[in-house]
Amino acid sequence: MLFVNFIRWIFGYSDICIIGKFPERFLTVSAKNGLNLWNLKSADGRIHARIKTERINTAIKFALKSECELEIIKKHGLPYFCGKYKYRIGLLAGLFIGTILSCFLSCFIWNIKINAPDGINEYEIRNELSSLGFHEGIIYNPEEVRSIERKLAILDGRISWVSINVSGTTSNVELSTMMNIKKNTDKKSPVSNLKSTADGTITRIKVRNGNSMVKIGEGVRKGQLLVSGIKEYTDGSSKLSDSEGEIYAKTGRQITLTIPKNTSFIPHEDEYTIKRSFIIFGIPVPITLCGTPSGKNIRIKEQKRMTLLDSDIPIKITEEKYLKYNQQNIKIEKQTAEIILNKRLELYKLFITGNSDTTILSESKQFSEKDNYFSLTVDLVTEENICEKSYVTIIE
Amino acid sequence: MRREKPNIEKGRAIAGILHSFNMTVSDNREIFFEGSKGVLEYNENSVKLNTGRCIVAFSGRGINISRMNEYGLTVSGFITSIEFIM
Repeated sequence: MLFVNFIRWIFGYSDICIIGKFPERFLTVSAKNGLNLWNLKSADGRIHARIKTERINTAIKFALKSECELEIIKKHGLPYFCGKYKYRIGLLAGLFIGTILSCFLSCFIWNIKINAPDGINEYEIRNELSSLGFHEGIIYNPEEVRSIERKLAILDGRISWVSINVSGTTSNVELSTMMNIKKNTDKKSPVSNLKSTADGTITRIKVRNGNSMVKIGEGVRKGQLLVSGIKEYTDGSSKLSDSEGEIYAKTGRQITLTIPKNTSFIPHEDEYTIKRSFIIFGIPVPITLCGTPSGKNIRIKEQKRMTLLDSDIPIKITEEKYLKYNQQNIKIEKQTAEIILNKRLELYKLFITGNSDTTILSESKQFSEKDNYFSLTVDLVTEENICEKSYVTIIE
Repeated sequence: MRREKPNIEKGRAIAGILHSFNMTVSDNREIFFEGSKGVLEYNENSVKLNTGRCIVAFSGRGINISRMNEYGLTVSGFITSIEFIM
C-alpha cells in the first residue's frame, strides 16, 4: 500500500468533493466508465474522494452528466510540488550546481583515517603518506593508491603490509607491522661460560661454579674466556655446568667532557599570538585577522577535525600559537667551564660506581681550552667485575 | 483457525457467467464487492448497492468506500449487517 501511495504521489492526485442531490449517481457513472476513485467518504450529503490528476477532466464530464458539481479541494503529488517552484530559477540553478558540485567533490579524498597499530605513530604515517603525495584533497585514482601502498611499505621499514581502502571520500589506511620475533629467553641453556667485558689485569677471582681459565695478575682482553662451563677430567670425561662467579680486574678508561665557549638559551616569555583558521575542502579560511607575527617565534600548531554523526567532514579548525622569544648568547669563562665540567665528572663517577660493583682506584685530569670549547680529559683506573655470562648452545 | 484465501479470479468468472455479484467478506471490517451496477445510497452508516437482481445494503458505523473502480468496490468500516432487499 505504501508503494501504491508513493506511485500516486509521483503522478499526482487531487482531493475532490462531489456536491449534488444524488452524488451516488456520480460514483455509479465513474465506476462504469473505469474512473478509479479511492478514499471515498460521505459527510453532510457530500462525497469526498481522491482521483488521479490526469482524470480530473473526465470526472468533471461525469459530474455534469450526473447533475452534480465537482469541487477540487486540494492537489497533491510531485507535479504540484515542482509546479510550485517552477518560477524560482535560483532554486533550480542551485539544485543543478549542487548536484554538479557534489559529483565533482566526490572524486576527491577528503578524509584519511589511519588505523595504526601499537608502536607506530599515526602522525608519522600521515607525514609519510603526504610525502608520497597522498593527502586530503587529492583526486582519487585507484592505480595511484595501489602504488602509494607499495611505496609506503618500502619507505617505512616497520610496516610489513599496507592497505588503503577508499569508500566514498574517506580512505581508511590499514597497517600491519613487522612481526617481532621474540628471543627465546625463557629456555636457557644449562651450560654457560663467563667472558670478559673489558681489557684489564686480574686482581681478584671468586668462582663458585665452573673452571677458572685465568689467574691473578694475568692480563685479559675483551671477550676472552674467563670461566669455562666445561670441566674436563684426566680420565677423558667432562662435566657441563652453569658458570658462576666474579672476576675483578684493574681496567682503564678515558673520558672527555666538553662545554662550548658560547651557548645560547631561550628565556621564557608570556607574549604570544593566536591565529585561527578553518580549512574547508583543503582551502584555508582565516577566522582571526592577525597575520604571522614578525621576529623570532616558536609555532605550536593544533588541528581539530569536525565530525557530524560520527563521521568526519572535510572541515578542520586550526589553531596556531606563536610564542615570541629572544635568544640570548652567553660566553662561558674558563673558571666557570672548569667548575661545570668537574661537576659533570663527579656525576659520571657517581653513575659508574653506584650502578655496579666498581671502585675508582686513581684518576688523572687534564683541562684544556680549544678554539670553540673547553674540554676535560680524564683517565680513570678502576677495579670492576668484568664477567659476562655467555650461554653455550648444545646441538643434539 | 486458518482462514482460506478467497479465490477472487474464480469468483469473478462465476459472477460474469451468472450475471450475479460476488462478495468477499473479511471479518466485519472489509468487504470486496464485484458485480455492482451502481451505488444507490452512500452515507456514514450505510451503503446500498444495486446488483440488478436485488439491492445489497451494508450498514454499520463509519462505513466508507475505500476504493472504487470498474471491477468492484471495497466497503470498509464496522459492518453490523448485510441485507438483501428483493
